[in-house]
Amino acid sequence: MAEAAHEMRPIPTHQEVALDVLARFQDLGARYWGWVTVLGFLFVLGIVGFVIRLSAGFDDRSIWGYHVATMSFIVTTFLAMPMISAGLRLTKANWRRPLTRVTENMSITGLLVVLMLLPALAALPPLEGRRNIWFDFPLGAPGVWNVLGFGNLALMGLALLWVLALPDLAAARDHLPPSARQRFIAWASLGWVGHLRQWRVLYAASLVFGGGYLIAYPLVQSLLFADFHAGLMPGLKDAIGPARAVVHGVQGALAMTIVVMYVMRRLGGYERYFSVEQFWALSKPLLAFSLFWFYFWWASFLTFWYGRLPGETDLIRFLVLNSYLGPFIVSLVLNFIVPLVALIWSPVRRSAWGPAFVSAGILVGTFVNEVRIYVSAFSIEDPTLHALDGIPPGQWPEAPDVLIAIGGIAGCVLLFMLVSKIVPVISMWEVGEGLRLTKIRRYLNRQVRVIAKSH
Amino acid sequence: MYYRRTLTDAQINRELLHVVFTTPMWWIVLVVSLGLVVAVAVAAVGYMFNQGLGVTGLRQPVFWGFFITNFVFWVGISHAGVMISAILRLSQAEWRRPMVRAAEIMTVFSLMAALTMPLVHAGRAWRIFYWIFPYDWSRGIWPDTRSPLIWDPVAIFTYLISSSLFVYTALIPDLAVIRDRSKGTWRYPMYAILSLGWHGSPHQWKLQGIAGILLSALILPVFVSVHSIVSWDFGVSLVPSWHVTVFAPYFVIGAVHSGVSAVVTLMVIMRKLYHLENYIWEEHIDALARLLIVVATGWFFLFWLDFVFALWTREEQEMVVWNLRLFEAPWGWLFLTFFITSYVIPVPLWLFKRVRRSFTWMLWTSLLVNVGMWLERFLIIVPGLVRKGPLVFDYGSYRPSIIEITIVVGTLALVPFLLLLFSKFFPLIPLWEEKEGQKLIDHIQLGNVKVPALVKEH
Repeated sequence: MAEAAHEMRPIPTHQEVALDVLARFQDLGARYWGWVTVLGFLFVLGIVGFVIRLSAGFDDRSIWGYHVATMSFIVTTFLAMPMISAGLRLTKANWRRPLTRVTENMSITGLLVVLMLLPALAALPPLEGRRNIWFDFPLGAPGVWNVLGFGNLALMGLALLWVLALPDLAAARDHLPPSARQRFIAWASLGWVGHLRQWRVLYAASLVFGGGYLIAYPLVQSLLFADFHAGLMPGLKDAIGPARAVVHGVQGALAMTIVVMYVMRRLGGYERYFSVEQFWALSKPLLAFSLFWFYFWWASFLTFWYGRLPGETDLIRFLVLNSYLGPFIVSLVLNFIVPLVALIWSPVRRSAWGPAFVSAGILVGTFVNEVRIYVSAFSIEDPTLHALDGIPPGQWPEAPDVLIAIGGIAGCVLLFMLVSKIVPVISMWEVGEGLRLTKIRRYLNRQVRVIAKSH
Repeated sequence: MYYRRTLTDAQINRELLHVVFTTPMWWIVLVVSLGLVVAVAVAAVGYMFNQGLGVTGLRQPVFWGFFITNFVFWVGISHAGVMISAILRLSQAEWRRPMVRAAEIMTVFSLMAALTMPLVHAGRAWRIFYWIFPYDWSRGIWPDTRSPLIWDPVAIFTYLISSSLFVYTALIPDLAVIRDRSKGTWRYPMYAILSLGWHGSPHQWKLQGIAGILLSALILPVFVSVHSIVSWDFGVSLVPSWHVTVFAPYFVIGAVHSGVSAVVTLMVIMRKLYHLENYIWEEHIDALARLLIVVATGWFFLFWLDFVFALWTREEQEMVVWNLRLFEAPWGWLFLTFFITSYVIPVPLWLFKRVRRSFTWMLWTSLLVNVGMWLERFLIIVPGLVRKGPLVFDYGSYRPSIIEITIVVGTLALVPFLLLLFSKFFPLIPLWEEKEGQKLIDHIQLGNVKVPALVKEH
């Protein structure tokens, strides 16, 4: 047992938690609006960058590379977060309870991704003459299928968020004073009163939408990789690519969750919900997925390296050794080496700052990696060739690209902040359920926690 | 979930050491029967060594057949031990306790079975020593340390050594119990030596715990690397349908799929034969089945990627191999059997709680998975070689000879044979893990319902 077990804090009651969360939820102070204003301004800057790109049209595909990289970054981090909630609920991890709502609230970013997808699709060249996964059965491919795939993921995430928020929406409905916000929340709570049948439906729906999200996410990453990278890269046959993107997605989701928890802990006063236990527990899969990050890249690299086919060797030179060497080194260091070196140490994992520091680096590395993957693909002039015609140079960002990147990321945070005033950012009912299933007892000469498995 | 039965330490000792101290008739019958099959296989190997590889079905251009398929299969089965033991130990999954020892030991014996295959496949096994001692880099000829065929034995021996250490470390407290119960018998000196003077002091328990966690963490990269390297035997070559980047994780997750299924088979049979009803319950195979749903679905995703990206290039040779696999007899029938048995039948069935908690259903579905996974390896290896190469004017073919079939069946008997022998000397369920589990039982009263609960270890 841990030494800290000697000083175990008494378990709070469900009512104490609910009152605390609702008080924070109700507060719409100047600080909140200050952040919303700043993020809104940055988001508008992103729209300006987008309009500049739009005014240049879609004939020059290369100018849309950073837009797609930003979209992919959002898919790989923010939009992957509901997987954490769904996965931890399936494994019945008790420590998940305070953090699931944070990850579910991020599913709102799916709306932004669907909007960003439309111009990205417009920038794609026709399917004729180039490799693609649609073969001879396009039926509106790739546009229709991508919109369906991304739209399905966004809807699945929102459904998961809504269903799991119903008990808390009902609590907020009954707690808030009458206002437009209260009326909207009352509508959204769908008349929840918490009888047995409603709870059964909630548990079943959480399994359906959670499982659906876990299945939909790899499919979306497969579409993204095949249509926006592999299909534009002459000579590339990289079957591991979509799986690698999913692994990057889980790593990105874990890192983003840790960073959001750290920021809420430091700036929002949520220490009692995001304790070291949550950081410690998340840092273990973060280390595992950082190792997987390398493993999935290495499996691909080694196959190409040993195959020594001229087309594949050129691709390695383009993506790894030559044109995009810098971005590759940055992502290798931040996504693999730093997490490995830092997180193998238990004191680092067992702290809030350690996983947060590593996660911040992972997010930077992930963005750089998305740039390497998608900007490189959009810079290829003729995707119908069977192999690269020489090694194209790397492409640096221009001012509109920077604005789009900043605006896209700020837009996601803004959406999260807005939705967090509709749906409480801590799942009161899940935390309350956990409290009821926990007790502290003496074991030999110390106190330990006992956790029941309810279902 | 997890309504653990309350058992005393004495009862655990008595029930789990029953076969160690007595010899039931079924045990003798099974050991003799399986021993006979193994002996026939050894005779077949001897005949093949005497007559040469001409008695097998290996012909130009197919030089990798049943033996290599069987090698990949057994390396795959060996992944169960670490998957179950190390990962579940690190994640403190309570339901791991009754299955870790059997899974770990299956790893060791499966690796031994796997290692026999390349030796047999070499035809003149003793000549391998000419390759190994001394290495000759000067002439630039085989053996080449840059070749996956050299990485293979290195990885597998590393895995075998670390798995054996893993088993042994976890076995020490139980060896001490057997030592103390066999004083004055012929067994005593053996267990006294093997138990390394264990008497269960806090310091010894602490060291044992640290060793278990360290070995769990260190063995995981080895576990992933072993089957990755086996996959690179194929992936780094330019054979159509083999030169695929997804092969490494595809092989690893396929190995976990077949390995965990084998653990389910083993648990159900162990429960029946050794009367372990107090230790192996519906909850355990339910948990394994849930794990299998996730693993099988991950495996299916990678299989789908392999398939889609094979068609991606529309290169003629790649299409020929897939056409052969899917539409030409007998490959097409084998492919259908593989796909139905390894995914289509078991996974939908496992979605039903009643199936997951039925020992009979789980026994048959887990056996089906391994029939399918053996065929999967066969279909990866052989059709890729049965092709029209640049200097081959017709498609090759492959039909395994009776010698190859006998040897493969021999390995299928060898692993249970060794497991039975092991169970005569060591408990298949760790005594100390079960006792520790008993100490961590508790319950929480919710309204008028008592919910089973566990003390959180950390």
